[in-house]
Amino acid sequence: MRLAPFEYLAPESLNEALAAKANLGAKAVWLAGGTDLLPRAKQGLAQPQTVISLKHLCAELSAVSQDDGKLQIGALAVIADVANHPTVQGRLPGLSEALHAIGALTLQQRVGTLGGNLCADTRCLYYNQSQEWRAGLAPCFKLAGEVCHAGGEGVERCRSVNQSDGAVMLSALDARVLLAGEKGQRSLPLEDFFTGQGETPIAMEADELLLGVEVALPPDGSGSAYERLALRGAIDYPLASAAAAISLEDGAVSTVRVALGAVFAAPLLLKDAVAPLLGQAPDEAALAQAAQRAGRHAGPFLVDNVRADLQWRKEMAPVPMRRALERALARARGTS
Amino acid sequence: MAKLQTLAFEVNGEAVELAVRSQETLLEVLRERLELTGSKEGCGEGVCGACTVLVDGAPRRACLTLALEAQGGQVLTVEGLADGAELSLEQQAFVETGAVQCGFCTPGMLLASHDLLSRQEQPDEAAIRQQLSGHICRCTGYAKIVEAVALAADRRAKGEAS
Repeated sequence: MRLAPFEYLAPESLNEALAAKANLGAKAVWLAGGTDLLPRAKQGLAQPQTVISLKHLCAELSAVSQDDGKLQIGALAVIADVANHPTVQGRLPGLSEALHAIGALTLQQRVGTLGGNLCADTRCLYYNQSQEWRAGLAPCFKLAGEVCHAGGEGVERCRSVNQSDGAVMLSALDARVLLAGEKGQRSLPLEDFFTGQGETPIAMEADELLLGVEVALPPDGSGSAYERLALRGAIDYPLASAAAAISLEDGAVSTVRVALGAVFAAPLLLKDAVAPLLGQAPDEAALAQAAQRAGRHAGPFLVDNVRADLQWRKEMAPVPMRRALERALARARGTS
Repeated sequence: MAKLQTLAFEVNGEAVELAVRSQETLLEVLRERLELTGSKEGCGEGVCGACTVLVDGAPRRACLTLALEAQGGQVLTVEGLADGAELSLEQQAFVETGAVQCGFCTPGMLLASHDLLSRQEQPDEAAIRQQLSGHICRCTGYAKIVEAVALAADRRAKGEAS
């Protein structure tokens, strides 16, 4: 597979990079590790006029640092470096698990970046195909057409799937992203970063760059966990995944956040499903019930796409959720 | 559009300078311009690992790396592993163990193994399997490859020549 021609820029500074992007807008794309962009460009799904390489900004945007109870992670931080960071392993074990699930070890080292994982495009069985393959079908919503081949007749929007592992766990951890653009910087919660619309899944303007992620470090007596179901143990996207983050006070749940992944165009935060756990010291049955509720609440959103059908997702979504809740709680209690 | 740019880098210890197009991948430059055809294109989308080379010491999918990203860098391909007629530790172990069948995945497997052995003194089986998990082999069933990497690690630990 050959790439179509484009211009290549490798700016030396952040200001230079932002100025170039502001000038070129949506005709230019950022290049970090390239593991999401290049396959899409080879398939003609991304057709950049200019590729702006971020390689000279690695020193500036790869730091993992702690400040005022918050962990700041640069967008160009390499996945393995974040996953193996002592603070992440110690205080945010679920994030370490989620990042270790991405691709394979050799892609996590020095190639894949945390920012790239968060900005990865949503995927679809009918979209992520070669140009020749797609030529037999009418353009879908994601290609500015008027049909969704995955959803079938009567579906009025794109039903592609966010299969990022990092996004699910960071959503459950209530992380924020920091964006820089022509007019300065802004920060927004991950909940707002992912639009839930498959056509335009990321709420970034054409002039913006993801600078990094900020996660509040949970208090003592907290635990997080990430679980995924996939066909293979490596080089595979999840078919359903779940993240849970729990804090305890005097043995009772004081905060709990969960998210389901790989079932919708954004990580699916399910706040009401786990609200009954608040103030409780839940046993296994209570966690299983919460997981079932999460699956039911997710029901209307679940997609029939990417190697797992709707019925499978309906039945299986509670499984990783229950496992993630159990392990997060065990970690919060200090029993695992 | 897409004018030629000068790419200056080091391949297997030799300085190379050539004009490339922005959209050329490292794999295309290695195979088609430098005629280093050891690195293979399997899937072309980063899944199979057959095109793996080391860039500045770290494994990269050459099919998903723009050649210009390696500007000023050091690239090691399978052709750079042997010292003249003398096979590298990993290569010798692959041959002896029967870890090579059709051979298509072998260059990528060798470089991933080389990377692992350069980072870990004595990797256990789990570490070897994890390192090779980014590579697909359709012939061997992986057992012989894992054995070969373990043999290479073992020999190095004992200070044996290959």
